[in-house]
Amino acid sequence: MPDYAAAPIQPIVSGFVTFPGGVATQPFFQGKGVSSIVRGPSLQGLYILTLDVGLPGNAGAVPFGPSPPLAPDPDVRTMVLPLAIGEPPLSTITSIGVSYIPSALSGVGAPQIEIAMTEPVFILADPPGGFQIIVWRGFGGGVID
Amino acid sequence: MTDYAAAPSEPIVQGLITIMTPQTGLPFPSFSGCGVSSIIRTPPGLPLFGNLAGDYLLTLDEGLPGDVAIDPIFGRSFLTIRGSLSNPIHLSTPIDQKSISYVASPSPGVFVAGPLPGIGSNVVRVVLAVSATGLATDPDGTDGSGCEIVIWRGNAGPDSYSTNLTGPLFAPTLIG
Repeated sequence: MPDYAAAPIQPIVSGFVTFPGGVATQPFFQGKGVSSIVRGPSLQGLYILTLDVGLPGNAGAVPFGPSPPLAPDPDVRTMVLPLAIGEPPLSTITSIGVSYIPSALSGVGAPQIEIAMTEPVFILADPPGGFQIIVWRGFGGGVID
Repeated sequence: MTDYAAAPSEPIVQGLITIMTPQTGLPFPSFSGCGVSSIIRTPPGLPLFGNLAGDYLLTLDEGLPGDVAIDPIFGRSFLTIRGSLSNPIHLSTPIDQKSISYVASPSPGVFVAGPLPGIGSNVVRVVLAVSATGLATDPDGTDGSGCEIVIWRGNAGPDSYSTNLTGPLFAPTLIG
């Protein structure tokens, strides 16, 4: 079979985040590639996921170039999908922002991912059904304008 | 090792769309990654009506499998907005509408909606918008820090071969 994979990517995180105690309680990550999940500076809707130590999660798997902290890193792709509950099933989430938090140590890269979820009126909120997350590392390519 | 890959799909595009602001002139989109040979704002005019922001045409690389290859039926993709550093709501984005459509460019600089028989879709149109304003919006400033994109070609293997195809690489094969 021909290999048409022209844009290689490698999954480094796959998992499912839930709130066993309900929204606004401690989030729980099930899956691979993440060693901890904590809330950001908000009761709901902000999560900081720390990547596993070791390849390919930490220390260089999410490298930053010579850019300011939190500037776009061209080599990571993250998909976040809230799950719905109820009937009809709804997630309540309308917008999702993903950011990468660089280590304070030079050369380490970004060992943490921060996710911000908001409801229609732009209030940070937990998706009651939890959310799926996959993070890929991209390889190669360059800048096209 | 057991092969659980029951639904093979092959990544043909992976990258990050950002907005570059030159010292003079208007901000323009830039793509960092693989599988795309050019990115422009969707030009105004028939049959495509471009927006001043948040509306882009990404031309796939020539050759396998990008150019004249992707059939919209087999496109699998996602768009993720990177959080804004300057939005009052920490690292969030107001962009809540993201869409991909498949476009054809039968000749350089000419774009038509939808795939063309014999050509397929060699251009992908990405539109990002904020429903609160109803406007297409760049993922820049308080609206975001870029837009990640991945496109896979589904049905990568020989199984489940469909006859409902468009591009020449996927022309139906008659099996006697």
